[in-house]
Amino acid sequence: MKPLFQKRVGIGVKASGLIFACVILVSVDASTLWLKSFKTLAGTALEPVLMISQWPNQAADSFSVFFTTRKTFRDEIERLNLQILTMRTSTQKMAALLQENNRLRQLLGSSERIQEAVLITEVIGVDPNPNHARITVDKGTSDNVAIGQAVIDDRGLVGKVVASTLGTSTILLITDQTQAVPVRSLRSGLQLIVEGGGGFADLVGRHVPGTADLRVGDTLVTSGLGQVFPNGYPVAVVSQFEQSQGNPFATIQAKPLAHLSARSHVLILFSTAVMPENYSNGAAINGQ
Amino acid sequence: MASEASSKGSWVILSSLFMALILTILPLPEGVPMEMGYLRPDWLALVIVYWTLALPDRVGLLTAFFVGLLADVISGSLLGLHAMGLVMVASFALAAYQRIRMLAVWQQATIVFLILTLLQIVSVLITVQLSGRAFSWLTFLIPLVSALVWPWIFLGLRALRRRFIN
Repeated sequence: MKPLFQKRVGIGVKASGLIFACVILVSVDASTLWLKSFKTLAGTALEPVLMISQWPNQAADSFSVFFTTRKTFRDEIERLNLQILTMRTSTQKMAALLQENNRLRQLLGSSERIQEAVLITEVIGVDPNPNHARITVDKGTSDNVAIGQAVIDDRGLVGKVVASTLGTSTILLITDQTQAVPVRSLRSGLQLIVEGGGGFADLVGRHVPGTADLRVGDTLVTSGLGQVFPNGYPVAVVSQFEQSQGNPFATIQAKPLAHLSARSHVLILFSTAVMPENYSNGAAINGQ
Repeated sequence: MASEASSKGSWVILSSLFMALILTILPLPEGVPMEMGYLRPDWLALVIVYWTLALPDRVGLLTAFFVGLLADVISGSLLGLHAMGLVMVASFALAAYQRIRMLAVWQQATIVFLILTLLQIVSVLITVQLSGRAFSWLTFLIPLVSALVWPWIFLGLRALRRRFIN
């Protein structure tokens, strides 16, 4: 028979042992990459759980599709066909222009523009911690996705890949606190770095003098400096530029162009540029 | 403790923990502001607290540790962060389960609030120290919401336990 008031010995010892083990794990994981392969392996094994967590949203989606009328779909198809037509027209001369651009760059003695290929992925998860701006997508190392690759959507830069398992990748959004993107103003060519303000909302520009040639409404595009994000992708539009007396730097806020809170598709960029090994490592550490 | 009675209804415990894990990573519906994430109760901690109070012989520190590691891997946080929190929560519950069991549900909710607030402070200190992130004071809404949810977790899991375990 089980005694009614069992004396539990060693809870304290066992608890402190386990907490100590956790502290070791956390500090090793925060400062080295030793646990990376374990995390990839375990993450791959746990992919089904991530899929299950998608069911409520998928059910809601199919529910709304079920109650959409035939006419709405017809209209949608027609609208999209028209859109394709306009897009095709505007890209007709693209190939010729690209060639001309590269020829001119050769004349100037600078290297050719790198052609980028894209991989279309679907967003399957969002980091539950509201302090992190990270999403998970449904393509991983089996599709050659590697840490450090840039991610865009149809409007602009989304972020970069910071971790991947066999079938999923984690993307650190440009609005995450630990993310910074080197950009230049399309109008004036001013170079600056924008950092994530946290959440999905805003980017913040730091250390830009109040006299700099920047205005509200300027489009910021990636400058390609730092070699993490390729040159020329739209990032954000300046929404606030103020200088206060006695403060050497201006207060700059910018709204991201990419639709970061949408749960749809994002594109992972594959470029032929070879990045030094330490860049991808740095990206992994920043992503924690 | 390897008798037949001690493994009866293990699937109830495991599936409740699994549900809690799913609820932890369940994405918010599209268009909901991200700050709403601070209103998400700490499901795993609540479920672990319930089972350690109800069945301290079967669910304890090791369960908390492994469930925490799963949560770490799947949510992509630093490995060991959730595990440490859950082990702390479970050790508090285990150390005083005989007393906490005697309390009324709202008193238990108060205890849950205190334990989870402490846990939140520890995890904020660690994250700020290790990843250099600023933290939001809204983080401390999580223990509050969890305490408000506790009575339902308690009643629901107790009904399940009486039906399937003992």
